[in-house]
Amino acid sequence: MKPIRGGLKLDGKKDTTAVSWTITRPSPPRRVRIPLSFASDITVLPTVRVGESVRVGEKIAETKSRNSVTLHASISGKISEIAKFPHPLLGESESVEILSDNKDESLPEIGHERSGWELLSSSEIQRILGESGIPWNQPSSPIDTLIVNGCESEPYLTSDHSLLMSHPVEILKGCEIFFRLLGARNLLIVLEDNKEEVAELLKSKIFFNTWSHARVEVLPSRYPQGHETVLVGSLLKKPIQPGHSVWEVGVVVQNVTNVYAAYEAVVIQKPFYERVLTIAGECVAQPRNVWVRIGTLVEDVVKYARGFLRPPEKVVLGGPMTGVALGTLDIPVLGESRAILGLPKEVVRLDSIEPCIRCGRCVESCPVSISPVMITLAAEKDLFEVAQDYGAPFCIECGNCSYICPSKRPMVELIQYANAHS
Amino acid sequence: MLTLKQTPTPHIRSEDSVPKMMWTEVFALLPFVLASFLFFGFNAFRILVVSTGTALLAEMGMRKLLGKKSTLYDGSTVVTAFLLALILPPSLPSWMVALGSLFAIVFGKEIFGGLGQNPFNPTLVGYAFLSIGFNSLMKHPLESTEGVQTWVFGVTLFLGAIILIFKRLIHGDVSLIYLGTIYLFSLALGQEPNELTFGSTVLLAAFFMVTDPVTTPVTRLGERWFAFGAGLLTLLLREPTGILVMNALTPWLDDRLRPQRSR
Repeated sequence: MKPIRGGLKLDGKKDTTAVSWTITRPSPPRRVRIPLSFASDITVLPTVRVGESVRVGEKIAETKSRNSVTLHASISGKISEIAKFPHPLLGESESVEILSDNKDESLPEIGHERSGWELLSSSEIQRILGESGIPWNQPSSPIDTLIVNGCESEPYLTSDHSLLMSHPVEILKGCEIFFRLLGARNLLIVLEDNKEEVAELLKSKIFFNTWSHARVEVLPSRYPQGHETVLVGSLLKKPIQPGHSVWEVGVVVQNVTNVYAAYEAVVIQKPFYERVLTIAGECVAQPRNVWVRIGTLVEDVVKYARGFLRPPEKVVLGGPMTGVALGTLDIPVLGESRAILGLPKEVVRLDSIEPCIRCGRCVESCPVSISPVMITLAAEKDLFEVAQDYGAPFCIECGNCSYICPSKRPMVELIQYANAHS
Repeated sequence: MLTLKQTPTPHIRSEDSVPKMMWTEVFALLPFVLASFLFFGFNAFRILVVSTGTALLAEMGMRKLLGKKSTLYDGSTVVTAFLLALILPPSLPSWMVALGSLFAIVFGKEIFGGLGQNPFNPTLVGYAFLSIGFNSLMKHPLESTEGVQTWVFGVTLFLGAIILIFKRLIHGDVSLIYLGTIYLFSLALGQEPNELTFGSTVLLAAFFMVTDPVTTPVTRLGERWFAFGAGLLTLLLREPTGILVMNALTPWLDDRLRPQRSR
């Protein structure tokens, strides 16, 4: 398989968390705060009141839009507050705070196999996913190929890797659920070549299942291989235009976390209230992969990893290339949070900005073949049309140009600035 | 209490920096500098010191005059001064070296706003100034080559090139296209190709000037066409000042040879 165009061979730094595939499960936190707003502009309404008791997995908020979104209690206890709290992406958001009763009592059906789950229809699966709080948009056009994205091309992250190694059968069941939900014809599981053992494992399972529709594809590890647009572009030779969805070329891309969550929701009736998260980075005392209840505060996860060895320059929620730098640790983990990273000064490298020396490394590293150097130089002079001409709207904000720039210019910000003005 | 930085993505950066790149270039020039000391003795040392000293003073003075922060630490001035010293004839009087170096920094670089803004290669601007103004004194450096010396110069320059390629500062194919163009077109024109192609000035140009990031196109395709054109012009003028013409064409090449998704 041909590698992506451009891209960067980043230092993976996955060794510290890839030593064991055991995903540890800390005892549930004393409190969680579950935000009711999503970055995608959706806000859900609470279905519980302050003072009410909830069990793990009980619904606490929902919307009644076409693609319904629900939220579930991730610990058992009392609703202590419904108010504005800090949110990693939105600044602040209306959130439900639950204080633990230390019983960790969950809904009775969780963990018991749903009878007849193999025979569920597409619309029934869709309903279950919606009720279980799994982010899902039903495509509006027919889907030919389901791609399960196990690339995990950002450094430090191994949460998908550990989930794939520890639960391959469950993940294949999850794939099958999405496959049936979409009525797709091909299933493509994509991995990077730093996960050869996962590929072998999955290939053997697929062989014994005699799945002729499924294929495991191993790509060279190169960032941003796992980006949806880049992945579909390089796998299927189908370029995605800005503002368009991969649905239009008959593709749906699902990540490993979602696939596993779909298995849990459909087969063992467990809503999406916890996820695997990598806590790592040079500053973290005991890097590892952990099951984290959604809404757990970052500080509690850090404590579980035995704190910081030295003060980090940045604490990042998500991957080092696309995550968000936190100002405080009083921030809840979201459903989409893949990692918590404590990064030291020498890795963050907030050096002074030098003028552009036109070396062209940004052009070479760009996975979507635009000209970051020309766009940013134009953006600095407010020449937004020039910026557009050089491909600014195609930018997928992978961060490669900012990473590689020897002058440490804020490339992504300048491209965003140009795009905001056109 | 932790104080955390909240800057935008990405949160990790490569270890490369402009000063690192420039000082690496200086380092890559050192084998050739030592070889020039060996063959030209004190004169080579004198020219290097005068060129570098003048350049640093010129840069400092210009920055002061224009009220900008000093950028001496970035090493680019030293690169320019070293390159100029290494392409000047060893017999040149010190005042001329100083004049060339001053011109290179002031009119080759700082007047445009400093590193990154200069359209022309500063070294060649200084060199061209001396060539035009004092033609009789500028004994052609290409003519002063003989057996062992040519070999030692060649080997030390290739050593420098290997350092640059290994450190990913230059693209080897660009240098190769430049040298290949000179060699093959010399052959086609019925000339002896080795003397020009493997003369120290042309090799210096191939590894340190045609590959200069600032004054060449930003795309690989553009860089290759640049090298091809520079090769032809070098052959025509029998010295690398032809690169200046290609410097002038760089904005046009950048406009024509864009990455795929740019229009």
